[in-house]
Amino acid sequence: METLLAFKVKGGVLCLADSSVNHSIVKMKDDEDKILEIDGHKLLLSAGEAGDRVQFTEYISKNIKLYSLRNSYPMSTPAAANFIRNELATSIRSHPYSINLILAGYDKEVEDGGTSLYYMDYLGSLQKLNFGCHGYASYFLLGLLDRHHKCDLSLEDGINLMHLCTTELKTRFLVSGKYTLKFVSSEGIKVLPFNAPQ
Amino acid sequence: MARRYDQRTTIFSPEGRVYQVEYAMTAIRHAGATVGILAKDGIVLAAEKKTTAKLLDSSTSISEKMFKIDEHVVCAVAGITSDANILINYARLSSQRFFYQYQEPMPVEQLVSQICDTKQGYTQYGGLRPFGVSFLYAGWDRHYGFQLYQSDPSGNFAGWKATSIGGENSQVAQSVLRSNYKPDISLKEALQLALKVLTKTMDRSNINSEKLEFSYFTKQGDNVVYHIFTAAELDAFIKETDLEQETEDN
Repeated sequence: METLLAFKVKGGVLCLADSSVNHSIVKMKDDEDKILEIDGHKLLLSAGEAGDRVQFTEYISKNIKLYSLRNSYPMSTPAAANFIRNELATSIRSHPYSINLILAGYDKEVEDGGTSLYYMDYLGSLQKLNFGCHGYASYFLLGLLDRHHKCDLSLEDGINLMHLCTTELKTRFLVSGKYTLKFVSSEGIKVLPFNAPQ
Repeated sequence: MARRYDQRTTIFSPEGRVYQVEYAMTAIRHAGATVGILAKDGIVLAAEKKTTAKLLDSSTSISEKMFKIDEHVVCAVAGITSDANILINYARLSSQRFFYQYQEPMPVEQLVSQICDTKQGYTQYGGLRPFGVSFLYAGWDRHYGFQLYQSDPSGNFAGWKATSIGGENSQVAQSVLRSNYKPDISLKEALQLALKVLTKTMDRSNINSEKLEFSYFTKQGDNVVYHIFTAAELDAFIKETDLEQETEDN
């Protein structure tokens, strides 16, 4: 029932994740941050088994930190995406992690204005996309994004599109709650206030 | 008792030296000289060939002491070639492993540092002989552009603008490089300088394609290209350079 959504806008990537932790039919909390900030220019969105999520994202972020300490330059977002995919693909044969991920980042040397967005699932697939969505929400949102998303949207229009998406979820999706919104660009990571329709 | 501290690689002498490592470095001086020069638009590697038996069939391998590790890294060897082959094989494996994990070419310094970790291991652990090889690594990556590194049997490495390994006259080579190197040297000038260095350290009558190996790295557009001179190209280059120097002298 979790929702991860990210799309490129002009100069950066907007990332939205729901804030709920559920156990069986019980809502445990509604202010969980599922968008991990890695090294100032990467955002890792994760959804899935709560324990796996924390364990795996922490393991990944510490390894990316170790890489930057060893080499005195950060790992690029494409390299990080392939590294994470590789970890998922090797672990699925012995100790599988039940988590789906989206990685968004900004690197000066990457083509298309420096922004990159990668979609990964627990089976170890990796896709480079302009917008990506995990969970049941994708049934409602992909069509909406096909219609409205453009890579050169301004940040403001991007935020409006996020509101359009959450309004659609509020209208049609059985469950919906609070969200976290973050933005990564050349200036780093910004946490944006986001009030979902009540 | 004089030989008390040089039997093992892993113990210090009372003066604080590790003799086996020093002997390995001495072994390298018996090899032909290898020169590396970093230019603004590329890197030159040049070497003196020591084994030039008439009956040796050199058509099976283009190069005796220069080895391609990956599309963006090559190395030149001075020392025991069989030892070098082990490390080169390891370097190629490392580079491909990095690419497999990150889908991105391995940054040159990481590769050099990894091979040097292996070399260092043999100076510290267990009764084995250290690798009797020095390397010059030439490569390009997006972090630092063209780079030239030198490593020795102790596992030390450093980045250089111009340097040489091996050869009995390494002092001469170093001083020729020091006095002729300019920070904005072009690839062509670097090739000529490499030839000049080898001319000064070798027997003058031996300056021909049978005794020399030349190669360079440069960029064509977005691609890094590596080129090893064929015998004909090398002889033509030597002839052309000699002519230019003669006209300068006049």
